[in-house]
Amino acid sequence: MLILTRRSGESVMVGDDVVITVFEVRGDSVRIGIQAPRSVAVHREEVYKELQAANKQAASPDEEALQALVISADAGPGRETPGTDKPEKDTGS
Amino acid sequence: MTVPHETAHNSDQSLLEFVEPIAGFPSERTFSLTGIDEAGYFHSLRAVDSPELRFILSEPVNFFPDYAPKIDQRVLALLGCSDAEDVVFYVILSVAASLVDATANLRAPIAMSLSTRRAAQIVLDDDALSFREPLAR
Repeated sequence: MLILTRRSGESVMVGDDVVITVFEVRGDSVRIGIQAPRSVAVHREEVYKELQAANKQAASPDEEALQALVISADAGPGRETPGTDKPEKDTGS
Repeated sequence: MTVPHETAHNSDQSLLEFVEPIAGFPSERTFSLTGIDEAGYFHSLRAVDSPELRFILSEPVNFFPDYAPKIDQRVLALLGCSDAEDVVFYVILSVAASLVDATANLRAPIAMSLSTRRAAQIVLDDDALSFREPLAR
């Protein structure tokens, strides 16, 4: 990992097309601006990691599970209306 | 009752070009989108170069009628189109052994331009939206 020190207003270039600029430093946090081509996604790391994990989990599901889902959905998703099929509240004790 | 598999004659099969790859799958850019069930709730998004890779998509209106991601300039520019009406969203489903556990990724839907056939997974700013929202409520 390349580690650099920058002041507010200074920038770092990544390749030819990505520019990272420090806008403001306040206490523990840094406000950064990122210029990148549209085809390059820019995300907070923890968000991107969660996204990757969600995508990987969703990839190539088991065929049986898929068929079960399809059968049950085609039996009628969204037919539930608010207030129906709810268990009665337990008002005891 | 048998559930129809995607077959070549499904009239809504078409190719999509991802302008940004789907996170976690950087080498896949071209996918085919095919309907799975006759009612049209589910679609298969299959990587053309790695056909063992596919995602199950649904139009969000099927399970989340109030879900309405904003289509901003960045999305339009990314997809190469100028009209927000031209953009459709799909959500990636996580299918589990039990249906009760099936979830939809509302935080990062797939946006697609009907005219340019370009697509991208868009991460929305709203952190109240879940990556794993249960389908069953």
